[in-house]
Amino acid sequence: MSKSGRSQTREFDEERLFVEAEALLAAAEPGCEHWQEMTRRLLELAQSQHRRMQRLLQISDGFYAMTRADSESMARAYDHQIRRLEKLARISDRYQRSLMDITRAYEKAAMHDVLTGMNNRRYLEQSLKSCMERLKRVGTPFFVCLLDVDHFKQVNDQYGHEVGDDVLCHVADMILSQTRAYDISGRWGGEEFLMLVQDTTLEEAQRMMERLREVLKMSVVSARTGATLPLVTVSAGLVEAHPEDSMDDLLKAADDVLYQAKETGRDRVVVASRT
Amino acid sequence: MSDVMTTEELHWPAGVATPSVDSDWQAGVLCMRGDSYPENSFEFFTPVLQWVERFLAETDRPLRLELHLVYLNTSSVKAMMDLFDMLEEAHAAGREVLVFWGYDQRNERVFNLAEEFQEDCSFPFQIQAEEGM
Repeated sequence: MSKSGRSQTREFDEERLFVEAEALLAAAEPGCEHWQEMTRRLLELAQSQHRRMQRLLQISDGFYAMTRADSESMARAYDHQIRRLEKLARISDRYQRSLMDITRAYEKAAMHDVLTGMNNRRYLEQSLKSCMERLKRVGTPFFVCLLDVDHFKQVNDQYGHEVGDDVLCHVADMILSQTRAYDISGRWGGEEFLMLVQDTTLEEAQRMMERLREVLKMSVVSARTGATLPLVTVSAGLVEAHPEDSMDDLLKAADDVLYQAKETGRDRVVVASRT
Repeated sequence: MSDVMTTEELHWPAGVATPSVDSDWQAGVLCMRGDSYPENSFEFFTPVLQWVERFLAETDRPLRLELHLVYLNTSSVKAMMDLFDMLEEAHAAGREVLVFWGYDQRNERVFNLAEEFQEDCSFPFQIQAEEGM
């Protein structure tokens, strides 16, 4: 019998009982031969059953050991696979995060102006389209303001492009500081900026643009080169969007009044008179 | 053990979605370089795994796996795990194996990836930043 198997648990010692039974049979008195023969046969049967039981226990112990070894090995393999799966998930998650970061960076790059950090023309066009759709759908009014830095070419020619860039960044900062969080603004191109002013009246939008113009005129540009710059002034054209407008109509109307502002002396805001 | 090469050397140039693979049976070196996101990773990596398996089975020389991998898709990661499992088993049996993973020092993501693999390996696994990769 296996010392390490389950059959180790026993209540009595069969081998010792067999030895004692054989000793009793050998010591039987004469006249008991019939009883002695019957008992011997029973003993032999018991011994045979005992040997079969031993063999069965040995086989059972063998299976038990094999099953246990198999299940331990399977548990180890399972743990290994779980670790691999977790590792795959971690690596995959990390890639997804990187991908999202890269996508966001590209989105930002695609929608932002590199120099000023403001929204770029692509973003402004999309926003303008959204505003137009909202105006047509639910009648939410909005105003387009096109703003241009006065005499910007002269600044570039006289002080160089670095200073010109500083002027544009300065104007961008002023626009952001003078507009509300839900107004949309950005660099339209060159020295032109575009603002989409929502949830207000034409008069209030005009006041906002006049205030921006004055603040800019009073502010001082801090150029990286240390150059002392003349005051920066801007001209602006303001137009109220109508539901029947196309984007081109609206932008042309804003451009027309901006042109008027330039033609009539610059440093002013001109509002389009539309019926 | 025989030192006679019984399998073909691998000399694959990098593809759009596959790394370059170069083996050297005599030197005991297998090198992979580039991005790995093949359409069928199983098909791509099977010869690589077979080369390593045979090298470990048919020689008793040290094996050096030299990696300069950048991006791995999920099934390539799994293939690398299979490869490292193979090396781990050989190492447990007393075989000298080494993984060297070189990465562009500007790309911390690759360092993290290599470190993730290194974590489960008890054999020498060297991760080294390299300039101008």
